[in-house]
Amino acid sequence: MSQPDDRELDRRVAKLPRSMHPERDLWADIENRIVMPPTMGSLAARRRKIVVAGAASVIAAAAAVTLLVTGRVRRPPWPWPAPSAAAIASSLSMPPAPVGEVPENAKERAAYRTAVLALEASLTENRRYLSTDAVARIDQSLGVLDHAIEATERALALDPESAELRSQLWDEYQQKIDALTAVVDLVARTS
Amino acid sequence: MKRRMAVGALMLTALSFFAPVLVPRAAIADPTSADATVNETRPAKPNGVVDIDVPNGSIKILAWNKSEVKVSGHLERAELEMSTSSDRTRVRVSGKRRPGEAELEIHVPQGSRIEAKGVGTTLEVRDVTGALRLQSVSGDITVSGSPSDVDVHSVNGQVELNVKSAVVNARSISGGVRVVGARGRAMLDTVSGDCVLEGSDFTEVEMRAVSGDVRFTGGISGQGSFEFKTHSGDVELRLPSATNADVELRTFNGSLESTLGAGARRQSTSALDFRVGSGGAKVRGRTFNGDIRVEAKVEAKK
Repeated sequence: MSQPDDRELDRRVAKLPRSMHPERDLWADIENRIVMPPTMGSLAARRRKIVVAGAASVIAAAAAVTLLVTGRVRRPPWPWPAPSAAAIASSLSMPPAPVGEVPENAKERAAYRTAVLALEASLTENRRYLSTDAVARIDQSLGVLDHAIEATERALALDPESAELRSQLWDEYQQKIDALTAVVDLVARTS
Repeated sequence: MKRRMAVGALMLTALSFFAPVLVPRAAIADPTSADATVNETRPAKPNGVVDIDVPNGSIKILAWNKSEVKVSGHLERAELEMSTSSDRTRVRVSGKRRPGEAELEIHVPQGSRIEAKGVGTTLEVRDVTGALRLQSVSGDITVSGSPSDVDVHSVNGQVELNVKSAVVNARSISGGVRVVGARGRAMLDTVSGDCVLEGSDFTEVEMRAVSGDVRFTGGISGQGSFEFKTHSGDVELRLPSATNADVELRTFNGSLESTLGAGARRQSTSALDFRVGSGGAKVRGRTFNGDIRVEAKVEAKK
């Protein structure tokens, strides 16, 4: 019989696409390039971009897999237990509390940070394709996510046994990675 | 005379050597270029793919009952390329040095599958019945009609879908996401903005926001999973009285309330679990800072 954690993983795996088709018909591009080879400058720039994006993606993917695997181990079973009354009371006047002190979270945080750093590097590479306004709005939303993560981390530091808070933090990590991945992917694909 | 001929031959040789460099790519591809009004039509398969790539501007994609793709509108500092290959029609706008703008209406066969993307591009799709895959970095995306399934991503734009689709995946980062009329499976996701889903019978739903409310109105059926999460915002669920579901609500800093589920069981101020009807579907609501309210949906009078 599968455990609740396994079921969560199964659910996520079930959501993955069964097959992946190219975004578009690639032959026309191939044909164009055979007829008209690109200049050395644009080719070099494109290669550099692909290498950076590829490296970032590989690192991010590895970290995300680690996160998924560690999440599988750490993610609390459903139903979530309610947070303790003490934690709720103290959350109303939350002092800053470093989460690094919660050893159970160390692996998840390390995997999360690696994924985020790789994706942020990739985003930095692509920022020049965006307007100042677009970059500002993206930064603002990523800031909102960081703020949410910090608030949950502070609450978890006050109530390290809370399975529900840990589950929420795990989800927020995932949401930050999803958001960064979506931005990087979309900007790279459209620019 | 010989010297003049030699110079001429030399010039011809030089010209033929540099011709590929001097003749711009746009001219080779025979595009409609620069500031221009465009009106191009190509034959297309009724269920083919229409691949649209317009970096900036406003694009309306409208279904019609002809086996043709027609592009009409205005280009500013941009050029249009249209090409067809087997079952795919490509519509591409590229800027001349600086990013250009395009204001286009694209008529497509009703059953087309649409793949459209842009950077600062507003996308609107009407009455297409094929699958839609739409992406824009800083533009709003609006869809109406009955596409078979919808996959829509915007980074900074609003997503507004009025669709009778069985599979909907709608995401924004810095904008609200609102889906009306859907059924089946729906996944809505945003960071800064509200997430709203209104429809008929759903088998699986996931709605996520970080800073914004999550509001769901619709029927739930089967044993599927229904998750509604936000960090700073309220969660509101309006379900039919005849719902069969096991409901679990959690808030870290807010209130919980339900007018459904006679045997509601309050675990604490931050947790509320109850069964509606005979149970079955797993309904989970969660917020960190906000209230959660579950209430009976007002049924339309027949």
